Amino acid sequence: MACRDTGDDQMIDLIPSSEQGAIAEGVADFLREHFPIDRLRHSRGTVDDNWVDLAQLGAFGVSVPEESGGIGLGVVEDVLVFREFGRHLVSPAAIGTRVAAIAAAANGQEALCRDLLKGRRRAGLATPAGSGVQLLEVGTGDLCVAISGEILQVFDTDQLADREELFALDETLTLARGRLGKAPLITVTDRSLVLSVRLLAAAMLCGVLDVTRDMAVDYARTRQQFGVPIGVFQGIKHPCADIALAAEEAWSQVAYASLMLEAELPSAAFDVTAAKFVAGDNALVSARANIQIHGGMGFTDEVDAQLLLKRVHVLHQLFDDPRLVRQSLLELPLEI
Amino acid sequence: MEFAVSAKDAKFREDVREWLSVNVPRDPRPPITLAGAEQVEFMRRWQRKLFDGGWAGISWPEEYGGRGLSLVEQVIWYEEYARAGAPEAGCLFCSLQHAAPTLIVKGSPEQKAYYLPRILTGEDIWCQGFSEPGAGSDLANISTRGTVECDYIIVNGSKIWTSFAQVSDYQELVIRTQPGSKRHKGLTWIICDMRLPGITIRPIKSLDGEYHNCEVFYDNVEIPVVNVVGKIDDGWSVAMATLSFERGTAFMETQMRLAYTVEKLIGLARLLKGADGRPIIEDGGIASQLSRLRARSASLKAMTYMGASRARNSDMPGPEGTYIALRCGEMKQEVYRLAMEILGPQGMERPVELATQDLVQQYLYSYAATIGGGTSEIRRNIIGERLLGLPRHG
Ligand SMILES: Cc1cc2nc3c(=O)[nH]c(=O)nc-3n(C[C@H](O)[C@H](O)[C@H](O)COP(=O)(O)OP(=O)(O)OC[C@H]3O[C@@H](n4cnc5c(N)ncnc54)[C@H](O)[C@@H]3O)c2cc1C
Repeated sequence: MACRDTGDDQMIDLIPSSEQGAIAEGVADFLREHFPIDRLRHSRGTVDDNWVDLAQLGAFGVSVPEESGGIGLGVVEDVLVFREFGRHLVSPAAIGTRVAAIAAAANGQEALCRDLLKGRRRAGLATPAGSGVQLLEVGTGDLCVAISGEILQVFDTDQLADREELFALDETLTLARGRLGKAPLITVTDRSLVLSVRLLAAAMLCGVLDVTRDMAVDYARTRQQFGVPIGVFQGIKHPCADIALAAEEAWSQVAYASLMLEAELPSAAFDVTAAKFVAGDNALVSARANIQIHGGMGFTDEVDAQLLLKRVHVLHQLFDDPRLVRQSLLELPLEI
Repeated sequence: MEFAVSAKDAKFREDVREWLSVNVPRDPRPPITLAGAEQVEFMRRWQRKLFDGGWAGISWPEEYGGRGLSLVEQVIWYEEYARAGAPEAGCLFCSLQHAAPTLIVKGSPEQKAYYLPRILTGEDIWCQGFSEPGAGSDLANISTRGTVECDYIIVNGSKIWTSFAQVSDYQELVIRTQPGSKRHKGLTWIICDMRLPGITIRPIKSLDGEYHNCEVFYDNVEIPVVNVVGKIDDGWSVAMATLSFERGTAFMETQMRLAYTVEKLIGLARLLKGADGRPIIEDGGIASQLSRLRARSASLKAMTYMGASRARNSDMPGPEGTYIALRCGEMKQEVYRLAMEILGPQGMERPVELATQDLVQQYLYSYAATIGGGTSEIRRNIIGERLLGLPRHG
């Protein structure tokens, strides 16, 4: 359990316990085999073939109650799993599917919950844009999750109107314009659940940051110019150090915020918002630096650096306009 | 990953808060001047108060008179300490944060028995004599010589940047004792009594008007061999023990202070109006920088928890402390640069008497944060080479 009253000794431990590590490692093993990043070079905008297998692994149900078919853990374990998702650029529909399953279970819609957990159905995400919404990864037959304030709503496909297909900045994902109907399948008001959605986007950003760091360092070690690896040059070495620091900083804050959210502390709203902001900002700066470190290769469509950049943009925008996030960071109560 | 709350810690926080609210000096800590007497008197009195109240050496093991507090308790202490506006360590920083931890790990029983209690009560002030004109970032290039003669080491040469040398009783002195030795080999870490004949101290004025640094000259200074910490010619490993403390836990208080400064700036930006008559906070650029720094203060604290979580099973902070040191130094500068932007024309004014609580003073002092204790460039080299395994130059 992530939060307990020991009666005598307080502690904050940001290192996963062996059980928590094992859960993340199980998912990571599967992803390494079935979700290598280079799969995205060839299958653009299509659903991952192995989505159902990933679901069968239980990866979307980590924090879904056991009686509804989940594993019954909490958001702390979720962030560990979603960081792994980020490392493999798993579709953000993972967030929608996980949260739709929790909402369905809370709403007594057990059959729907199980469909989501088993990978028979997926839930994409709606983000307000202009007078309607952007539908990210909402394919035929998929559900769609929208959040506003402390309210989270799940819509079925036939509750969306005026659908118009778009070409996405991140070509590995599908994007459409549309309008949400008036009668969602599920409506829940739950501050913690809404915060958890933001936090999982931040956790995925941390995963992307890890890959960005490893890719940059790898190239800095192997690419030779002037007879030496380019990592010798401080113009390359120092940006690598900055990316590593950015990754450490973002993950520390995401891990910390997950504990605060799990413990339902009043400052959790601030900590989650800060996590989303820091992870997004750091991932963006690092993705750019990684392209520069790769030189001409970084500018091509053939090297994964561009995939990371585009995914970061998507996750950074997800659920909240970064501009507004910055504003709320100034308003939210903070205990220091 | 785990967060365990406890009634005991809540009680601890309450005790700390109460003690501090009664005992923290009302006056700000005096600046470090050419002679430095005001700060020394002020800090000695404060440290004595901490000692009498049972709050000295909170992180030290109990066998050396410390409190042996857990990491979480230390964090609580530093949080409350910064919240109460209690004085920064100043001239006691070296004795409490460098010398004592080094002696605890590397000192002889006699050295520990003599020096540690005197550090704890604030009786002795220490300084760190590592850097030399030719050995700054390249610390291993030390050339100040020590010649072993019977029971003494005769020292000749000079040190520079030694903070608080003008008020110190002792110095952590690193010298080259093996003639002809190179780099990290042949160095010795020795306790130098600053009152010994042959020592000349020249304080250096800093850009903020204080006298943070000194040059120290040694002309046939005779230091007893019993003052060697560790072994003769094995000083580098002792120095590294000191430096890893500098890069790790020592930043906790700075971080908390930064977080409070950001809150203070938010308040100031709400209060102050620009030439257009509008509150500064309504400026989108300022507001966005403030919210950024508010989030970054939180993530800096989270990084400290991450470091502490990793260090739980090891005596010394790991090299990840460099992440915190780098972030802390650069963030400090960002925070005070923003303060100057918020202050606007008011930032052109300084009190006639130097005052450490003055934001402009703190702004000017923040330029040291990316130089002292290792520059940002060197910290990036360390991360790149030691943590990421990138090749070294040459
Ligand atoms: C306020 C303050 C207090 C201090 N207190 C003490 C003290 O108490 N005791 C003590 O011993 N020392 C102290 N120092 C000294 C401090 O440790 C040195 O100033 C610091 O290590 C840098 O050395 P330097 O000044 O010789 O600069 P240099 O090493 O000459 O560096 C000049 C510039 O070159 C860069 N540079 C150097 N080498 C490299 C490299 N390999 N790669 C990239 N860039 C490089 C540096 O980053 C810097 O920007 C203090 C310094 C300050 C500012």
